[in-house]
Amino acid sequence: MAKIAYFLALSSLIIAGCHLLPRAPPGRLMAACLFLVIGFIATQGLLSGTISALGLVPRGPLRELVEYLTDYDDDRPVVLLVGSSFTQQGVDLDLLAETLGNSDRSIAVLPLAIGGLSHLERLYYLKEYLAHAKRMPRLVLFEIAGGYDNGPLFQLQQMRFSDRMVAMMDGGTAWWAFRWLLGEDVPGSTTRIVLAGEILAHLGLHLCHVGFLWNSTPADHPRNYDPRALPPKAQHFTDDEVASFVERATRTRDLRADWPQTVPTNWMRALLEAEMSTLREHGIERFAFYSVPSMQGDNVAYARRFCMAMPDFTCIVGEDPQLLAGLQRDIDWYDFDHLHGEGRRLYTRWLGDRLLAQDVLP
Amino acid sequence: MNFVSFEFLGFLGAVYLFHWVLPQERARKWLLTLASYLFYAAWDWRFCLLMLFVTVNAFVAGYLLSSLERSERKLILAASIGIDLAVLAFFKYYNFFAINAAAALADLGLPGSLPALQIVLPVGISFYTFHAISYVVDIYRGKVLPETSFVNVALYISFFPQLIAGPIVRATFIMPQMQRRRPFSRSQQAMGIRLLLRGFIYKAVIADMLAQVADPVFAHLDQYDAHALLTAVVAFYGQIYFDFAGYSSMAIGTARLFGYRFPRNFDYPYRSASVTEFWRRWHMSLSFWLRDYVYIPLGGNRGGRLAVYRNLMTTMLLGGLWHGAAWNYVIWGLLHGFGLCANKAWVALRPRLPVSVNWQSSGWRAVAIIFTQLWIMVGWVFFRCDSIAEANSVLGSIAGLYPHPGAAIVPLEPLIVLIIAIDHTLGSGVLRRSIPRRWAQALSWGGIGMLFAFGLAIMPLVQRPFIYFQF
Repeated sequence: MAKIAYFLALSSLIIAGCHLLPRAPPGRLMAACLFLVIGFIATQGLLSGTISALGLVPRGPLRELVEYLTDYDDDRPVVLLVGSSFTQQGVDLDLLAETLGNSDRSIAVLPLAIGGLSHLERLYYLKEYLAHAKRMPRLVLFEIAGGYDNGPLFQLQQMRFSDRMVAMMDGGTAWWAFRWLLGEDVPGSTTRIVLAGEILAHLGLHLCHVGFLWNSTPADHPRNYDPRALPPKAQHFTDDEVASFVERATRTRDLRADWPQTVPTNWMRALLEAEMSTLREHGIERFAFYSVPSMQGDNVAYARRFCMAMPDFTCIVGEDPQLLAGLQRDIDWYDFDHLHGEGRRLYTRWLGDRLLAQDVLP
Repeated sequence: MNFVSFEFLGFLGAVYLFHWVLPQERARKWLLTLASYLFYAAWDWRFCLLMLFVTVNAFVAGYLLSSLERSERKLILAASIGIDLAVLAFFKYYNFFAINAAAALADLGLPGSLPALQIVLPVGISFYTFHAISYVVDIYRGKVLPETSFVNVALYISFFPQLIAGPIVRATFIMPQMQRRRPFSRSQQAMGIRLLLRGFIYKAVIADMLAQVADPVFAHLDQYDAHALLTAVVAFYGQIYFDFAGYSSMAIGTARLFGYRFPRNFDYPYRSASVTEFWRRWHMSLSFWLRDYVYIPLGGNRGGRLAVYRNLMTTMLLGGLWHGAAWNYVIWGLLHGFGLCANKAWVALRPRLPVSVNWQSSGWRAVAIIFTQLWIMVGWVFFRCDSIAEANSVLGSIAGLYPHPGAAIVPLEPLIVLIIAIDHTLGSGVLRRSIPRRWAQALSWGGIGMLFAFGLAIMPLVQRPFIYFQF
């Protein structure tokens, strides 16, 4: 509410300005438009400068997550998990660090993982993180998720014109979005046109700082982000249902009908190369991939194919029968795709063991 | 399609380009008509047929009025208006009538009820039926000639800038414009852009910001203390003005871009010193419509004082009901009707007072403005609340009639009043100075670009629909 008070005061100045401006003489429309654009662009420049000088950043959980990551300043080598809610809910950070560590070596596990983190968004915030990190990670683990790999603009449509989507849509993000749009994986020219319009609209909102001051906060604001805070369990299955879902998922070989058969797609491969290249520029050389167990067979089938297509990297699919045998109860799952409670811990230990066995740690 | 949306921006840009590229006036009108139907179909294509039906009714009635005898003309007029009102009554008032009739019968201990129907209220129905009525009545009165071109009538009724929420443009005002060629005028375009941008700042920046104050409180009235209720009421007082005046400015500006002039809809209404003056400044196109098509036919100022009061109350009651089929709108209309009657009585009484007072002095005017605006604000409480009981509770709590514990919010009333005051005082242009011509254009347009950029940065990203879209 205090913020509204400031903005109301600013609004009164805008209104005063509106009424005090002289009435332009008629004619010379092009000149009028030119002056309009110059005034607009000059003010945008002024706003950019003011925002930088005041150290304002967009508000929201992603910003807080990045700040949490960049604030890490400890001697322990960092393992960075890059993923979405599958990782956020499926991996116990402390337990993974404990599993990966030993008496000689202590490890820190940090997550660039949050619900609905699309690849476009993760690239944007990965760059933000690398630009400000006090300690660079030594190993980066990328989550495999068919939904995100094959629908990079799904979240943009779901959270259309939200602060979050506008915040990530800078020129670089728009470039990757258009690159996907111009690829072979988008169905129909109508979809392409609609999505192109939405990308441009988000880019425009981002570049013109639309709503930025409303949803911004000083960079040195109090931080209380806790990546360990998880939503309470909401959905319930019977144990028998869970067992049958898990069993069915392991048997699934086909991808979802609307996913491309090339795994990963050319776009996804290019994006991963770009991400790894950016990471290499910051001295990070070790990468691996992992998938979190899912009760949806197409996710498992996708992860399987993904790993086959990435022979040069350590790639771990969460479908080990021994692991799945321990994930047969309702309390092990939050929902179809997300682990919970003991299931989460079981998978984390299993993942840690696999990483150690594959010797990916520096 | 909200005016403050990328969809509308794309739609407007495309229609604008095609419109001015077309060489023939008739083709342009067809384009605008088709675009208006497309605009309406974006909400629900099925109701395009309803709008077409209303248009055909008006066109045929206009044609018949020009060719029939006097006695038959009256019949045609009544039939045409009756059809328009029946359409409006069915879609807007049927359930309201059915529910209240059933309740009244139950109170009398009589059996019987009308079935409640799942009726979707077509957006803008109140506006386009009024346009249709205006067209037929103006022909009947001989103020405008019946159109031989169907597209002129279709465009008049459906023209997208005024289709959803007005202004209610009179046939006498717009038809002559439709009949003449409208060349591309740079000054018209400049004015259109200026009005569009000003409307955008009113709506997207200020009204939606005030909605952030008012909406949470009105959504959970029981959770806030009395002072918070007062803040929310003042915020809504500002919100509805900036929202509707902003919409009107954008509508008028959009029409200008196509070469059409719309009448002014707002003239700084919150500086009114009486309810009568308020209705000469607020939603002027509706108040003048009600005056000419309801109040005057009812008898207007003719007859005794009581007859005039009855006419005023009836007109405002109908004006209230026009806004929505609910009792709180009826109360809102009656409050304004009472305000109009009180003002009439006061104007009549003033010369007979035994004291000699200069009622036109700035001091008395200030007092009158304050009382008038408090009255207007009370009316807005009934307008904004979901029920009369809720409105009574809000007003009672603010007046301190009973305790209303709850959460407090930052008292923003002074700031809100300041914004309105700045708008209403500077809006008259009192402080605008003339500057050399060669600087004026750069300062004016560069300044608009600057203010627009600032407005974008402080506006809330999530936009609310225009309040008057629901009517």
